[in-house]
Amino acid sequence: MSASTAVIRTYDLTKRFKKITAVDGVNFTVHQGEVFGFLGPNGAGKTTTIAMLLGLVRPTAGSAEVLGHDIRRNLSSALRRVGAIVETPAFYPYLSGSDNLCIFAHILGDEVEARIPALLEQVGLKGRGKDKVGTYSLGMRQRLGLASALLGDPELLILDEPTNGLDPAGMQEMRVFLCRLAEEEGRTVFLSSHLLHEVEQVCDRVLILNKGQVIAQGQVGELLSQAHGVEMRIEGAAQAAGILTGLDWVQNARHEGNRLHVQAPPERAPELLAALAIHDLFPSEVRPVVSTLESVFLDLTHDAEETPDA
Amino acid sequence: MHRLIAADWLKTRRYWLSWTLLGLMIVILVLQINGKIDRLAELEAALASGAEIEGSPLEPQAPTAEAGLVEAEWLRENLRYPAVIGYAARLATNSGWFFLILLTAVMGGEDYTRGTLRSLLTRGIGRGRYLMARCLTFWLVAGVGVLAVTLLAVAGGPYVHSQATDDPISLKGLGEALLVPVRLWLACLPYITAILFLVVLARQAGPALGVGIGLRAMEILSGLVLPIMEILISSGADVPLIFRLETHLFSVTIGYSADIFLNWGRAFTEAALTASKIGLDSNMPASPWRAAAFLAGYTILFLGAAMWVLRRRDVTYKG
Repeated sequence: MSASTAVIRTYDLTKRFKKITAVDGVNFTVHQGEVFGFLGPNGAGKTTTIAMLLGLVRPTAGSAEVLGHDIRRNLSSALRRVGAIVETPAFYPYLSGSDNLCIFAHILGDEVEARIPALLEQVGLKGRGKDKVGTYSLGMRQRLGLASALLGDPELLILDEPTNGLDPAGMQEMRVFLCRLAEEEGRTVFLSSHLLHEVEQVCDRVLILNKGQVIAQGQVGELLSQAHGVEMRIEGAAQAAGILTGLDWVQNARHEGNRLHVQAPPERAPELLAALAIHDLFPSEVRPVVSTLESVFLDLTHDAEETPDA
Repeated sequence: MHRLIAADWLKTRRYWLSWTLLGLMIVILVLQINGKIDRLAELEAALASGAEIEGSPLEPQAPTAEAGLVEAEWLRENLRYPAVIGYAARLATNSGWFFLILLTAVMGGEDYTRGTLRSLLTRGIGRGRYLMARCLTFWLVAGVGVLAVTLLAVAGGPYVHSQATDDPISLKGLGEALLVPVRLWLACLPYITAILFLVVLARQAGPALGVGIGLRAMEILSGLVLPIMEILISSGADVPLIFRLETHLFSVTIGYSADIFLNWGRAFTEAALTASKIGLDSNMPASPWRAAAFLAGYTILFLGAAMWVLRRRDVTYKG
């Protein structure tokens, strides 16, 4: 691999379907051993990006490397070290779960077949391996999909909505399972999900895609801290915003009527109040705003909606 | 490649449709052979008693005693052991081509309709290798069908022989009879590649199945035009251009080529014989080498086209 830790690296990756640009010059890097969250509203271009990384869709422009291999040239050898679920995992319903895994094991190599019983147990399908997949619930298919992705003992897992159809307990199990894959087994997980609470708990870094473009990426903690702040109700909010913006540790202060939103660490609220008191400004109400990934996501995608050219 | 074929084989073995179609083909074949035995008995009885021979519904008048004698001899020759092995293989194509088209379209299209194509291609299988493996698996499946027909004919042949003639069984012509199933197996390839091409083009089973069955039905209907012409046009008379074109078209179909190829070494196929009667020999060449070249050409053409389409297209969503 070019940079020792880069497992996925994209260079202005672009895909156009006739007049629609599904993915527009996307650049990101996924490092070895991290759980990388890939977020975006429906139609943002997540699945198209994943499909390009897996060689299912050809980029219109730009390129990408997966495990050091250019996706346009030598992807087959890289894909043997990748496990993937793209959209809903697809299986042959007239075969048992175990036989479905056998189909993929045949392709990957004879030694892989021996791993099937252990994998079925790992994903909680031990007792159902002999049942036909046609009788499985969506959640069970997701589990089987994960087992199928893990068959070849992959270095990189690319999972598109792996918790779809799982019940809360199943989601919790999946969360723990993904963390273990990364932390204990050193695998890299590229996780696309709508469940932001999940992503927040599992991922080290996230990328937010909207209308095919990257609108934010970074450490989860960083993104959250940027969105944390203090909200006040104060007479003279405009003057207060001006004063607080002058503080070098305040990132931003904006007002709407007598409401003031200050982008700054909530634990430094007393310092904000002291700065205002010097100017005889006293808020009638002060409350910390602790953001979640969901609120950051909604803010960012909403902002992007408001500025169509962004 | 062998791993891919093993995976495909596992699927085909477990799919109910494969066994159902094989069973149906065997049942139809047994009924057909039984029908031929009955027809021979009917002809022999009519010839012995001098009664009128019943002809096909297309024939305006009953066949003459001479024609009945020729038909009876022809049936006797084909039902005799070991010639019946080759005859059974040829008869099996009546339902066999339809079943092969059906199985190839349904199982070939399922990776598109179920979305399993994505899962397979993301394992690092090249698209070309995927298609070759599918093609070879279907050919292997067709081989199982041919083998079943051959074994049935080998095992049941002595009984059929005893119903057709009182002559003792001799193994003369066994080699030639056993070559027919081999030719039949080879003749499956253009049908398989043609249907796989349609599947890849349509990205689903339904249209491929519809077009495949439609084309096969057209082959049969084109073949039926010849006996109609035989009735309408006396030998030596001018054949209208439209019929000449139609016979030209029929002579380049997979079905006609396969028929000529399966009848390698025999004087005439039914279609070629009818064509010669109405002076259209040149439109219906009966050279087995030409037929073999056509079958090979179609196989390469359709496989190449399927490969080209699969390689250049994106695999998105279910397709």
